[in-house]
Amino acid sequence: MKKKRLLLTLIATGCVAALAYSSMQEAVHEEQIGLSKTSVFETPAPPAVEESVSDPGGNTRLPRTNPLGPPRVPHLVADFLPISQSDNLCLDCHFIDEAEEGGPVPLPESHYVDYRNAPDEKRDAPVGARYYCLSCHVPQTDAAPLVGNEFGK
Amino acid sequence: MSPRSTRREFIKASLAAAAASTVGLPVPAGALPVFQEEGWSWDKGVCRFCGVGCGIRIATKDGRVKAVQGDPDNPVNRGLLCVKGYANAEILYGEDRLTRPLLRIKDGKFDKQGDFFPVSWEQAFDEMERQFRRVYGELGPTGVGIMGSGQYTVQEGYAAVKLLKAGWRSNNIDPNARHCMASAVAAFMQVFGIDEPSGNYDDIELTDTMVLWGANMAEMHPMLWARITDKRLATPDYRIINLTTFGNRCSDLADVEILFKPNTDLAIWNYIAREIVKTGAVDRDFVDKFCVFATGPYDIGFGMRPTDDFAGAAERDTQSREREVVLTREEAIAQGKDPGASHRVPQDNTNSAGKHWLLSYEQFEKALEPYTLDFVAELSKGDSEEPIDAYQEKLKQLADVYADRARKVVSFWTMGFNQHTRGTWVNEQAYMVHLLTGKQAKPGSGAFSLTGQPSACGTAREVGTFAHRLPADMVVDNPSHRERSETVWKLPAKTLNPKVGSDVTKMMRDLEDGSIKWVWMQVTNLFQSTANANHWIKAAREMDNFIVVSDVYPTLSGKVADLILPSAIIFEKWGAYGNSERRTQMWREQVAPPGEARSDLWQMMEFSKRFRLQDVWGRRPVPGLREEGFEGGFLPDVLEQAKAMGYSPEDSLYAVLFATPGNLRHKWPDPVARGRENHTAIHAGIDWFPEKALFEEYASFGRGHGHDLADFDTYYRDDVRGLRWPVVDGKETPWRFNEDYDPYARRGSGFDFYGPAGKSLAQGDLGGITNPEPVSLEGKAKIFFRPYAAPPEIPDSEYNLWLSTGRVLEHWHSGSMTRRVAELHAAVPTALLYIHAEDAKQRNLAENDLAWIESRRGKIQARVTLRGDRNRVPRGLVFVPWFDEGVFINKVTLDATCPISKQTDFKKCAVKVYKA
Amino acid sequence: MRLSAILVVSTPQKLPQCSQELEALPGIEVYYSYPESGRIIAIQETQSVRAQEENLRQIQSLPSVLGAQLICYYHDADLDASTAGIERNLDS
Repeated sequence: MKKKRLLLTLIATGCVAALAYSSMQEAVHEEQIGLSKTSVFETPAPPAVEESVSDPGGNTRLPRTNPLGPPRVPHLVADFLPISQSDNLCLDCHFIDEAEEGGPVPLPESHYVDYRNAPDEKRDAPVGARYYCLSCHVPQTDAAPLVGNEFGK
Repeated sequence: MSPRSTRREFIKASLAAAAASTVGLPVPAGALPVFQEEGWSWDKGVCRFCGVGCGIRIATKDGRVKAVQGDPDNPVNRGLLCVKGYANAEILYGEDRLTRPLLRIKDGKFDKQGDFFPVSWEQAFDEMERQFRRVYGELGPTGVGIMGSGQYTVQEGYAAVKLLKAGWRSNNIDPNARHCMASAVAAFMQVFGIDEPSGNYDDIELTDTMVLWGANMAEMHPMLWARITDKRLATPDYRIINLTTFGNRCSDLADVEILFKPNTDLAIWNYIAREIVKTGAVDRDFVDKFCVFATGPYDIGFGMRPTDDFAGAAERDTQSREREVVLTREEAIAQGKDPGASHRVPQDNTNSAGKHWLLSYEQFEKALEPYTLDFVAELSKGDSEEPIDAYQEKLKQLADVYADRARKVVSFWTMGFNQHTRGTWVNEQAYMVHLLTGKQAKPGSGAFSLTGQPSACGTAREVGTFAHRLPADMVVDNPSHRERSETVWKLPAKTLNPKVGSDVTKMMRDLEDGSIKWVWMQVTNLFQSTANANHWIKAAREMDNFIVVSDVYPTLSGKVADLILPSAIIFEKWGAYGNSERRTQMWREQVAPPGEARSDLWQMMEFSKRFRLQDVWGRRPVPGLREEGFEGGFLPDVLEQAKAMGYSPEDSLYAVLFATPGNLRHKWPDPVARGRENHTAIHAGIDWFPEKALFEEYASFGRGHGHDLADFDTYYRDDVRGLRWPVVDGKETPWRFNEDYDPYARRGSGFDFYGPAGKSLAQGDLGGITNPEPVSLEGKAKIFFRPYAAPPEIPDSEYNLWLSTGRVLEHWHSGSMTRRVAELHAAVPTALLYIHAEDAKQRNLAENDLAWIESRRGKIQARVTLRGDRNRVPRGLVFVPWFDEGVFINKVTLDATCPISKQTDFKKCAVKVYKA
Repeated sequence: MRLSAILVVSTPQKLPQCSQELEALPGIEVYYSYPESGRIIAIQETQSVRAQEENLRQIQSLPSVLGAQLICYYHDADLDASTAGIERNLDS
């Protein structure tokens, strides 16, 4: 009888040993992972964030993660919207040939080339496909990244 | 050599090689540009995000993606990308990439209440298998399910369907795409008898009138919007009309904005049709030759549960409308009934919502009669501050552009139509108007459903990762379709289960009522994206079931799961996507997946090794199964037949479904790789090429059936940027059903709506079927009459605002990728509550204040925005994007669906808003 | 910046001379030469369409050249960054 119990204990120990990985590793609670560090049952209050309110001009250019990506907008944009058929206040400032110290950044040459219809011509005015600036150039808030990103590192 | 001058050298060498091959000169050996260690290596690819399917170029070096840019050779986007597109590299590198399986463990063993512990793949699959066997033994094939995705690669979706339907004999596979475009599919099938659009993106440049119906393309399809903008600015006579329930960025550039009340798009279409009929603008020749008229029952419910057993107390009043509806005055008028009387209508056709019958033209005309300008304008005007005269004028302009024979018209729509309790109807109404005017399947004219996910078309729809589907538009409840699939898949007869499985919303409900207890969620985040989420989260966390989530990051669904499996992301595997214009595009693996992350295909193939035929091909119960040859509600034991076919009961599903003799012929390595790797093969330790083998096997379903794809290698040619199927004799098909462009249209027909589904119909009138004798409709499309219907939940004195949900440009889907990109997160860090200034003032809410948004189902908090620089909501309606798991709006939304398509209406329910 | 791939047709005998003449032109690089057929694939780098056309005419008028034809080209404003510096041009 005693022998049998010993055997059972051994089996039990074996099972525990098979799952011993669990005690070897640090556990992660569900609230420690993901973008919202809360339980899925909670309804957290989202943080307040400040949008960039600086006026255009004299702002530091923001670094780009993707070297070929579009630059971000370092100034307030809300006052310059909407972009309509008749008004594009972005272009009012940025449709210039030369950059001046602290002045608006001119559009690059690519914005004058119609890759769809005439890829070998540089036009005098920006192409229509690039007209809706907000598709690529987005303004920023002061929100810190939720998680880090190792791209480019 | 700096990377930049290296890039220049690379382009020069590529150009020289391209020129040489263009003029038929050989490219000297070793002359093809091969990058040195320090250089970037470029390859073509496709964007990971929306359904537009922009071409990108990907630079890699030392096993890392270094940059992406728009592909100037890709006709979709010609070198341009939106801000998300440029983030295709960053999404690989979020610091919390999942690199090991995580299992909930307590006291050394799996426990639903345990914390997540890293485990080996072996341990993960052990528990997954144990749980599968337990549930499969208890409930049979219907107790398990796969929640799939419109972000599956074609091959992943195909493997999932095959594993679940052929291996496990279940039909419980359904994608998040059910939430996204099922209504479009249902309408395509009902109107044309075959899925997917007749036109293509070139229609943007070829048309002169662009009408948007519930499609905020400026934010959600930015590179198509760029094409529309370009064309509009260059073409004085081009017109853009934007129909929407709130002012958005498309309105900024549109010529006309029509702001309508939720659900009244149904009435607006009928007004347009009425105008067309009254003014003699019907293209008689087109309609007589190529169309028939049809309608179906009105009393089809709202796709809610038939029972309120699971409804909370506050949910019951909305729930009751599933059984009986009291028509509103407007509904009575719209359905030709006495508006003075009360109409209590039991919803008798909730289970036969899709049935329909032929109608005479006279009956069709009669049905349109109530939809006068006065009636529809009064019913549909969405902005209480807009004068009715001005609104009527806009409706007239809208009808005029469709009626004007000299104008070409493209109608685009996305979620505004598809996520609609009458989503199938409203899709069909778009075809109604386009077919009446002969403006369909022609260059520059057509009704066109856009999609939101990169392979909602290519995988979910074309492969058929739906509960009712088999590949190439076939369905499980059609005996000849099952037979054909069993032949291609080399299965014994009657292996496939004829009973349609659970759509994705029903799978969630099944979790709650215990009829599904094992779920594998792949490439999606459905616990965040499914409406009325409190129910499903509670069911998943607290009931007896096992939830597996495969993903690249810990998503909200991951937090709900019992087991999280780390997956490879797009450029860490080989794959193919199909976009909204039927364009199939492929990419090569660019870099290895991190840590122990594995491709979804590897996961499915490895897991399938754990099942022998005798585990799954015996006699199995399927509750509710009534089908000839499946007596007693059982799937028959097919093991004897399998033996006769040369299988052994000991054979694994891996051997029978994946590593088949045919598939093993596709060897790895393959020259098409040009030296790039395949970690699915490496991790599996195999010498065959699963992505190629499965693609070719899948493609064999569609070739010769109007779904022809080119061979695998063709898509990797340097001069190919995807091809629009059907690809016949190496040629893609720009416009389907049109004899001039579509090889499937019969010669001499002009137009041939050849889709085979539903091409035999009984005849009837507006009241129902009068003559059950079926009439053949070969080659014809159906013009449906569908009436205006009110949604199941309308704002009242307590829940007094409409809630519409949607998206923003900077984030994609549930934000699991884009919110890990610093620039995108900083641009839009949280989902805001868009509310009209007057509505806010009444509630004492100011910019940036915290507010509660509460429905009968749940409540959450969000910050208020009153600025109109993105969306301008009218009084009485609020808008909240759903990308933010911290502003979990799907705890508030209603899980009512279109009863035909089973797609949820995320665009309307009733809420109250108050200061937090 | 604009990169053009040009097919230059000469004769097998004159091919070495042709290579030399081409390399002497600014912005031209001989990529492949085919001694048996007397052909060359060259890459030309210019800043404008006009310069591209001008250079092509120049090539056509070389003594060793029977004919020259533009086969394909690549235009990329972003490549300008490589000469002018990424910050100036890409940010602009």
